[in-house]
Amino acid sequence: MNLRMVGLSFRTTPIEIREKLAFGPEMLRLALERANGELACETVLLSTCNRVEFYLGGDETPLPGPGEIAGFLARIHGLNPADLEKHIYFHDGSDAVRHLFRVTGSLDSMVLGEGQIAAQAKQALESAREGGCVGPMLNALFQHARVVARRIRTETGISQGHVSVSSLAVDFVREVFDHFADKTVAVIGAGKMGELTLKHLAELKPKRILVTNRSPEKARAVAAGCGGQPVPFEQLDELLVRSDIVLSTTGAKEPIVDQARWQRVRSQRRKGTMVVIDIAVPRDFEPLLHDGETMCLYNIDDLQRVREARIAERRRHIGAAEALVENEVAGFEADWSRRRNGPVIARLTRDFEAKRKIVVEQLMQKIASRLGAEDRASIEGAFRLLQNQFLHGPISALAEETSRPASGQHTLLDALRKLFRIHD
Amino acid sequence: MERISLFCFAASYGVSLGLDGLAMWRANPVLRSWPGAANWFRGGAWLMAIAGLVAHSIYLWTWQPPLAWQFGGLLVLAWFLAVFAVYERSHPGRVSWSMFLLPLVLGLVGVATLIGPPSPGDGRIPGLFSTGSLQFWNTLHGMLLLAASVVLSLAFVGSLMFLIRARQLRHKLAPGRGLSLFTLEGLETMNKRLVGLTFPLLSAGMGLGAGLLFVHASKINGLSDPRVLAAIGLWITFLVLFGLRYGARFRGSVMAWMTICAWIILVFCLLLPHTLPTGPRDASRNHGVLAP
Repeated sequence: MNLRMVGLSFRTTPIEIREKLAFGPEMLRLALERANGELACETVLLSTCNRVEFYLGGDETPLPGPGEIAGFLARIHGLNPADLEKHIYFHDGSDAVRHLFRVTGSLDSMVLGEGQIAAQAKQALESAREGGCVGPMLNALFQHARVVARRIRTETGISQGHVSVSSLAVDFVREVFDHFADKTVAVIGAGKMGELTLKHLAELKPKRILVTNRSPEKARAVAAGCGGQPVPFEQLDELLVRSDIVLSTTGAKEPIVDQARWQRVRSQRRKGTMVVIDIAVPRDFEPLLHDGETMCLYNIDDLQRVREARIAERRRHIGAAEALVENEVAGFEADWSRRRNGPVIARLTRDFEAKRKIVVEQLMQKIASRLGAEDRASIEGAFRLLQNQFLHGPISALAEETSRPASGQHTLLDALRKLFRIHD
Repeated sequence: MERISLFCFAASYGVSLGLDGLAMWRANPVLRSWPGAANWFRGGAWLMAIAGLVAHSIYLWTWQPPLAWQFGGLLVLAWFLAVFAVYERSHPGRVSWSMFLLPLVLGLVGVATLIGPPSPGDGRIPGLFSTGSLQFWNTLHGMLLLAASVVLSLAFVGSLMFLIRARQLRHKLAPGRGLSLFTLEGLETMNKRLVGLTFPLLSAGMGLGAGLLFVHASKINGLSDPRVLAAIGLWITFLVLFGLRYGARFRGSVMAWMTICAWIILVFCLLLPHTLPTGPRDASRNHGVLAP
């Protein structure tokens, strides 16, 4: 199989270099345009924030090596090729197939089991198609990779549950509430840590978001960023009375909501459960306030604990996912070999068929008058049998060669083409 | 059709429950090596529940057990709950409903089996779909109480779910772990609605029953009859529950516990006339609370 993958990823390349290799949509289009001319083979460029990988394939063409790809990347991004070469890795044939399947199945991702990479691989194929860089090999390979990614996602538990702290916070909120259009979210403080969580909470489309901070300017700034309303910090009790979900991220040295304050607030509340996401360190809410019914309080340790448990749970499924990848690599190779050998075998058979008919026809013209119909049929059958027996050897040998996992070069296929003068 | 027995549908429900349990059992060795098997277990559970429901329906249609007898009342109540379990089971992600409802269904079928059907020669007990002069009011009374029983049983399951969900939250169980349940808010809302629906059904059924008491006065020992006392007890419990439902700032867990108490009293009412003799004058002492 004439296939090669050349690339750089977070495993081999520091972020300082990876960020210089980022491809925006326009740059990707230009790169594929230039790849068409310079690399002269099928090319798919998979570019994410964690990796830049070139998948190269073709029938007979010698494929570019790591040095050429480093040079190509360096020219596009205005870098020194030597800075890239030491980080570049490559795989050929089956190893390249395996690598792509592992990448799209998120087995090689920074966050094991993340779901974005499969969509990014699909997008990479689309871009390469638009750029006219894709031929039958990479098209078949990436289509197969999509199937593998889906199988890994659905048949193993490697993608189960969220693993980012901010998404987990929202997961906890969703355990308590099932609709948010009537809910009030309160944000206490303006810590950087809470920004992403607030973004996720705002995506739930709550009725209102109220923001309070000791600094009114900061409260206004955070409120403006999330479409909320600023509330003076002195009205914290009223804010808590009105809120269903609280995100707390202050830099206070002591808890700002203790037992006494909560009792005061609770006696005035007409609402049900309050969910508090306390991601401040030190904590803003006293942990004893959590009772699982009137208040569900989750601090950063709770979120980290669940995150680690989920990652550990995902790791348990690596073995099953790797086995699935191996299975699919073998499946893809067999499928590709069949596709590749098919036309040669068909052509070989057709040529022999034509030659047999000519020879039999010439023979029949000479001796047909002396033979009965049965004799003629026997002679034609004998020639057909001879043809089949003659072809059986080469076809079987070809099948045996392509069924071997290590066979990537198709030397026998090339030999057959030359021996029998088969041209595409 | 007549060869379908209680065992047929009870076994189907049991297998369905077992398959659901296998799908949810995290340490299941099959699921550990092939997580996709959970969907097969769930699919199988659903099919078995449907098979059980079909057999259950055929049994009720063929034998038409009298609703006035505990045996019939319990089987019909179990049938309604099984319908709900199958319906909910057809929605992905609502697995736990059947995990709660099917044991209840099995329990009701089991109790009905222990009580047994009325003897074939007992002509005083009308069939499930029979008619007569007072039969309409008797049937309406029975149907209202049956409907209240169905809704209260669902409220009971919802309350159990609420308490389990609250426990999960109290222990900060990771989202997605443990039994798959509705949200705390959803369960509380559902419980309140079901309590709100049960009360008028129960009140109407009991009001009608009070009227029928005059007609059937000869069969009942007046207010000292255990059936009457139990039904009044249930109604008072519900009156309190209904008051709490609209009472402000009442904790969901208190509502849930009271609903569970109300359901236990309901079961007591369903079984009481069978287990306690109601005096020599009562010719129909084995009749359930579902009919006067």
